[in-house]
Amino acid sequence: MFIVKLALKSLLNRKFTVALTIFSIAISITLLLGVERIRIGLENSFTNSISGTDLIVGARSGDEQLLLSTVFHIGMATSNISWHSYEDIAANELIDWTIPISLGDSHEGFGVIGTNHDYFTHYQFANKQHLQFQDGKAFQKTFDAVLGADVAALHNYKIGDEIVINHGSGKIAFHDHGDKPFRVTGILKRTGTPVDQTIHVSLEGIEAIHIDWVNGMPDKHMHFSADEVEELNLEPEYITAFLVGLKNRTNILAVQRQINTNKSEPLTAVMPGLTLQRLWNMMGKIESALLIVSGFVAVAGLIGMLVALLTGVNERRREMAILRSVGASPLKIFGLISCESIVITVWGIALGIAVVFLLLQIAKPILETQYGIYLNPSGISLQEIYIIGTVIILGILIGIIPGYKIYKYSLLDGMTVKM
Amino acid sequence: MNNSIIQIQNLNFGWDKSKVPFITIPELEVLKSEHLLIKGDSGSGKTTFLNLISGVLPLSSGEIKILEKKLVDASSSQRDAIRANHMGVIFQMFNLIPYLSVIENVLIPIHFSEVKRNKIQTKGTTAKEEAIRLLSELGLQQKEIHEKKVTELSVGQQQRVAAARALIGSPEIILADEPTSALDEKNAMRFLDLLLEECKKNNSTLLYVSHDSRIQQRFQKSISINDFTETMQIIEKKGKEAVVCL
Repeated sequence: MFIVKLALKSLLNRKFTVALTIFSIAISITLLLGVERIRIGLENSFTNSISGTDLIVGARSGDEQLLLSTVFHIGMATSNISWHSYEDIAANELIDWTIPISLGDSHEGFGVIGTNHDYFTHYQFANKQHLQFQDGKAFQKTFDAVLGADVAALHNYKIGDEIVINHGSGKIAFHDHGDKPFRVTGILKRTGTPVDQTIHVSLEGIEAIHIDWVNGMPDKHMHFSADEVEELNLEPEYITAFLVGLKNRTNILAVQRQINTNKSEPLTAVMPGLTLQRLWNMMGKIESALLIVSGFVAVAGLIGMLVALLTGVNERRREMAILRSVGASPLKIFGLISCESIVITVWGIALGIAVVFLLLQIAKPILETQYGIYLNPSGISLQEIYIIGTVIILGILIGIIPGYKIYKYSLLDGMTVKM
Repeated sequence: MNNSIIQIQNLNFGWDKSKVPFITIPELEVLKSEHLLIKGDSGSGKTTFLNLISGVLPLSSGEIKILEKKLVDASSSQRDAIRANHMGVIFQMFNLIPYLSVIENVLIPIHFSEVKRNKIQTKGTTAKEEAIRLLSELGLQQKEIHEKKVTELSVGQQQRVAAARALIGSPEIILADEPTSALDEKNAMRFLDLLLEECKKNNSTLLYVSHDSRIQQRFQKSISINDFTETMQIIEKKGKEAVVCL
């Protein structure tokens, strides 16, 4: 106990150097745990984004491209699917439900999905959870809109507010559909998935805002007001993709084959689970690289601690000689130095953890709304415990080096210092 | 009952085994409560001698007995225990731990020796009370001084703290390595008198190393470390002569 007390007092006596060493270890831990948190957050956001959907069907394209554009609204679909093809496939007796999706427009950088009520009934995320309304209800009329939680929170939208949809994706739009604004009728509860950053409108709404547009621009010779357009036939000609739920999952390969060999239109059906896993494996390499870099930062921090301790060794030979003279064995002196290393490492780790949690609290809303990464700000995972444990063990091992040096000096110096 | 506390026979010590011994002591006996002055020039091996007595340095050959225990047979940790339990050391440069308070410095040896703790307990007092008593007897009775960091004290005060640290737990042997060399003559004499008085009260044996022969009359016995090295030189000379004769 006295050795621990002595170690603490000695560290306090060297506040500045010790604080710098603790700070360098804290930075390492912050980086290591921060990267780990973001990795877990990314993985969860990824794997939880869609659940209970057996197939995603779109125009012929790569599996990953279809998944990214449909679920994450990243990139564009290669082409559209005709409404006719969609209806044909949806009528397949092996299929339980479908959710049509029409993409391509945005609001303030958030993607707009044109869909129908089946979206709110059948879309599932995480562990087969259904969408729930935080406020209001699903769209009923052509120009009704349902907002994801982040969209509403960021712009402080409430039920009844009007929003204008831009043509195309991205924050900056050259053309908008300002002549046909949408009214917010519902706000969804947070899901921790890209749904939170999406505006949901009816397929008819998407058709209505584009009915007087030609080649991606407003038609100069034709214009329908919002009231006039309600009188028109708003059944869509094309959609971007659709989600499929089967009556029996054992038929998944058969249905996929049917769709992939569809004669009327070249289509691609992908299994979201498999494609997500493949995408995650690709990202895993980046994640490993990040972890390696963080690992090197941690090692650099620990080497900094070693340098700080070794620099102090010569200065402290007299102190050790005093302790030897009053009966301290070289092993106790070794214990004292090792104890100091442990204290520095543990303080560094504690500070690092505190900084990680603080930064997560600050960065959480930004990461969620800007990047769609949902972090779990509480609790320490098993993986993080391994990381912390490894750093503590490395800290102890590194502390052995100056401890051993002091031990050798204390044997050599005895009660007096010969330098 | 044997009254001797330190017994040395045929002691040889050298830094390098292949070379001539640095210190040679054919025989030396120090009795209980004896105050012994060890004189010697700088570099004559006075401090090395104290390191040998305290068991910090292992012997090359010969024998040292401390309280009837042979140091040569004792392991390193046993020698550490003998030093912790039966000795107190005062240095030339005081060697106090700068970041500890006066009281904390005095109490350090108590943390390494159960024997010293028990001795204080049998007196019916606590270690802190004993430390305060010793400091007071050494002229540091003001309470505010006790809690001060040692670096805030004057040189003379620091030396008295070092003496209190050596005396706490009433060790049988006090080793003093030129403790007054940093003090002026007046303060050096005052400190020496205080130390001798405390050693007398505690029945402690004092081995006091100094190159100052003016203090000799205050000690019951004095030896010169040069005598030992001279002995060694004579033996060495004889050896050479023998080689010549051959």
